[in-house]
Amino acid sequence: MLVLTRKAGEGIAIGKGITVKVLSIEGDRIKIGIDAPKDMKVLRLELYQEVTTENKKAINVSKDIIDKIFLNNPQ
Amino acid sequence: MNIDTRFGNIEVFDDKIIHFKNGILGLEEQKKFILLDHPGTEIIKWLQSIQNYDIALPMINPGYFFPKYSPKISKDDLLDINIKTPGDAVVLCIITIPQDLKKTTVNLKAPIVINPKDRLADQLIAENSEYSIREPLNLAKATEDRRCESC
Repeated sequence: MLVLTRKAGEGIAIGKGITVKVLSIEGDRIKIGIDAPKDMKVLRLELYQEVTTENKKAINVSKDIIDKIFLNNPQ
Repeated sequence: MNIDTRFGNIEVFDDKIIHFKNGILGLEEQKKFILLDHPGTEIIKWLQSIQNYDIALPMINPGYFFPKYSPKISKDDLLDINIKTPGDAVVLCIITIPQDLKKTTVNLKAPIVINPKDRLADQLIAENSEYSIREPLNLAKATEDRRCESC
């Protein structure tokens, strides 16, 4: 991982079209501004990781288990 | 085109294909899906990939279980799939069902938003702080409720 030290107001350019700017630093909170192309998703890392985990769990749900729920509880 | 899925051999018509330009989070390479009803129930739908036939995600209509569900989603993200008013969108939420059925959850935080007219879709983030990625869901209860309505 590339590690850079930046002050408030400074930024980083990533490739073509992505800039990350440190807007302000207050205590342990850093406000970051991100400019990225429209087709690039920008998400909080933990949100991305948690949704990814749930999606991967969802693809392992079997058809049988759902059949079981609705067979036990016929509509 | 015919594909072999866990639901058997299915004929896929081009005009039924839903395009996810960004894929689905964690499954970004999957960009083409179809919607299937779970056999025998209207409550569960499957988002079936037509690129990797082993990939299918079960979903519910959140309004059925959470009548007040109203996700706040970025306008730009909606415009990206050509949705200009809420009436243009169909919203479904992915569920996960572990072996212990009582631990079934639904992802209210990152719904699948579909523009059925243009067959475009994306998994978008609801800004509502109260919505959880793992909201407990009682599927069995829903079927009981429904049984009582008709009796």
